[in-house]
Amino acid sequence: MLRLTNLAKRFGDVVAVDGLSLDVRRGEVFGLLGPNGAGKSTTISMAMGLVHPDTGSVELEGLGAPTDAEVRRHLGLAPQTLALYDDLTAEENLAFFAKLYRLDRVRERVASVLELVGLSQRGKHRVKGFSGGMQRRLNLAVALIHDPPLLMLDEPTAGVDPQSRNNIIELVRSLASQGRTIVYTTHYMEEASKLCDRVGIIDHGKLLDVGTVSELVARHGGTTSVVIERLDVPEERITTTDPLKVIAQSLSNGDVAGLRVERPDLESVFLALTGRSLRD
Amino acid sequence: MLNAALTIALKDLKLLFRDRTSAFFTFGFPLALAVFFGMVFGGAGGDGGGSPVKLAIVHEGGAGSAGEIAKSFVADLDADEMIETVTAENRDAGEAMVREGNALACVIIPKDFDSGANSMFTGGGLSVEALVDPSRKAEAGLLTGKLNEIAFRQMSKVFGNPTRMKSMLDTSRAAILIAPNMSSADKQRFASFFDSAERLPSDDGAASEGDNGGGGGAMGNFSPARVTVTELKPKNKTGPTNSYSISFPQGVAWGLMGCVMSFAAGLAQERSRGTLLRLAVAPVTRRQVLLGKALGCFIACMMVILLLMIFGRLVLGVEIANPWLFLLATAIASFGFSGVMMFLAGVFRTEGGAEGAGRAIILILAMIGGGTIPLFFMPKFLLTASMISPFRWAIFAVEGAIWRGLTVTQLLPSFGALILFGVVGFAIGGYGFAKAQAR
Ligand SMILES: Nc1ncnc2c1ncn2[C@@H]1O[C@H](COP(=O)(O)OP(=O)(O)OP(=O)(O)O)[C@@H](O)[C@H]1O
Ligand SMILES: [Mg+2]
Repeated sequence: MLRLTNLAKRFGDVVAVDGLSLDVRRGEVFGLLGPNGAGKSTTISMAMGLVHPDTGSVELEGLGAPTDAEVRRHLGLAPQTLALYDDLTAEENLAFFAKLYRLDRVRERVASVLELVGLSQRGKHRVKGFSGGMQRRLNLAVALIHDPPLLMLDEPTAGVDPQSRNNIIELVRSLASQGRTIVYTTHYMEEASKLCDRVGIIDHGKLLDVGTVSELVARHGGTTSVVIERLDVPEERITTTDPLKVIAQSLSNGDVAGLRVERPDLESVFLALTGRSLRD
Repeated sequence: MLNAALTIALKDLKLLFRDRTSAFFTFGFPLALAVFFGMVFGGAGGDGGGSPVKLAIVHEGGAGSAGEIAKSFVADLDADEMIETVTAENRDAGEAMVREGNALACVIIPKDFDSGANSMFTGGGLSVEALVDPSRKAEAGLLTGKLNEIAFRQMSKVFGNPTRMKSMLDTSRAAILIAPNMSSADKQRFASFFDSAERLPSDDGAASEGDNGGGGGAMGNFSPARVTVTELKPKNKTGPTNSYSISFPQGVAWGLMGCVMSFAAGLAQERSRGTLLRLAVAPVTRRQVLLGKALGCFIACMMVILLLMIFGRLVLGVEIANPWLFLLATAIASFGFSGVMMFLAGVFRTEGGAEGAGRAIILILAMIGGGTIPLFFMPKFLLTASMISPFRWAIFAVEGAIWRGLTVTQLLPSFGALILFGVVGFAIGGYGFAKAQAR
């Protein structure tokens, strides 16, 4: 669906993206997981045709490069920084972009998108008065107004409370279930593992590895450990490939105050790949 | 192409009106300034507030020879606390004082002023002419009333002077007797009025009776004074008809400044708020986006100029000598200033830049371009310096159409300059955006 080949971009001394190649498959939710400054947004911008790569190319399957305005019709972008007109209402924001996309039946389109993101009740209100979560949802709604087959969501949950975050994740799920291809950037590994069919780990502008969450964990996550707590003794950590067996053994030995299984996750994958924790 | 641009322009206008502060500074503030400076230049406090109105008095009877009634008429005018009088040499001098805004009106007391007293009851009366500034009709209306009142007071003096009254009554009786358009009933009524008047003691009684009778129906054609009000028309179109004719084109400059600033900042704001990104993602070209911005600014400029001048025309009597030329000037000035906006937005691409450096530049240009000191009053060197300011050309173009009485040909330099500012602004601004985009 979307092919990025050997993309590189530097801003002055800062290398934002460094030889990144990537294939996003039709119908999948692809997660780009990386810490602040990893180059996620720059990659998205190049994929959208907004930033000119220093080297490399972007191609939308069968359509060409997104620098062409007509190719961009197939793309929807929800930028990381909220991009809305505060003094316009939600409906007016949507209608404005609908007109720029030269859509027919603007009003119906606006209503259906508002419905989709759960803002039907607030359509006639100015964006200025919206909560962070509502603005995020509207930001996403604008990306949907022309019903693009490929959506790029750049940290769509940034700065929202857990409740709204779950709303947005549910929304993305339902968008994906309608057959859209979605590129989703985040620095929350929980989101990536909950939502994404495949995840690419990005750091310092380089794509370190790509795969499903379980593939990545299997490749880089290391082993599972069972942590056993006993009274008056420091806790004991046993690494194993068969945690059930370890648990059964330790229980038969008696005297166990608590048990915990620690499975490797994307966090451990990231740690293994970069030597750093994702949450710095 | 134009569709997308228009969509963007309309969105921007909507945003402009939504933001009350920017709407006020673009539309309300210039209007307030224009009215305020018009009042200051005009030299008359509009709200009165106790300050007397100034009247230029021309006494055509010349010195000494004029009748007593005329003299006492002037003395009473002078004594009135609402009125301050200045003697003008002759009609032309008085008229000049009004034109220059040094007097509200010029009151001309003709040679035959006194003789009017004798025909007071047959449609004659003391005849007075008043030349007024057309922009101050409301005050002129009050003046007519005042002149009537003071003329009436002269009558009571006549009644207070037995010999004067006797002669006046005699002439009046004779006049009424032969008056062709007066019913015999009226003639009868006047005859008995005159008879009783002769019997009155020479005191205030008559005056108070007269006060009641001044507008009364029983008195038929009775009028103490005939005030002919003449509005001064612009003379050869070489001077502004009133102070608002100067302050409103200045207001136009401030209005244009407001539009340019809010649109230049608006573009920078789109960049910083990320909406420019959205526009870049949408299937519209950069050219369309810029055209939309320029179109929005153009429409706002047109609106502010038209709003100001229509207000000036309807409310303050600012003459628009050549409406079509004025419209042409408005359109061309709006184009020029859209270019100025593009220049600022393209060069100062951050919100801070547009609002800081951009505002400073535009303010200086507005000041040397006649925004503060009217072109009309500018010393020569400043007038020369002002040529680098688009404001000067816009003000001159508007003035040319409304009171300078210029023709299209005569305005070609102004139009040319404005178009040049526009084209150069679009070119530099467009280049700035292209460079920014390329990164
Ligand atoms: N327009 C720009 N000018 C200069 N430097 C830039 C620009 N855009 C990005 N950078 C730099 O490039 C690097 C990558 O930035 P990018 O925004 O792509 O990271 P990110 O992964 O999206 O980070 P975040 O999670 O904080 O959004 C950063 O060091 C950033 O400072
Ligand atoms: Mg980012």
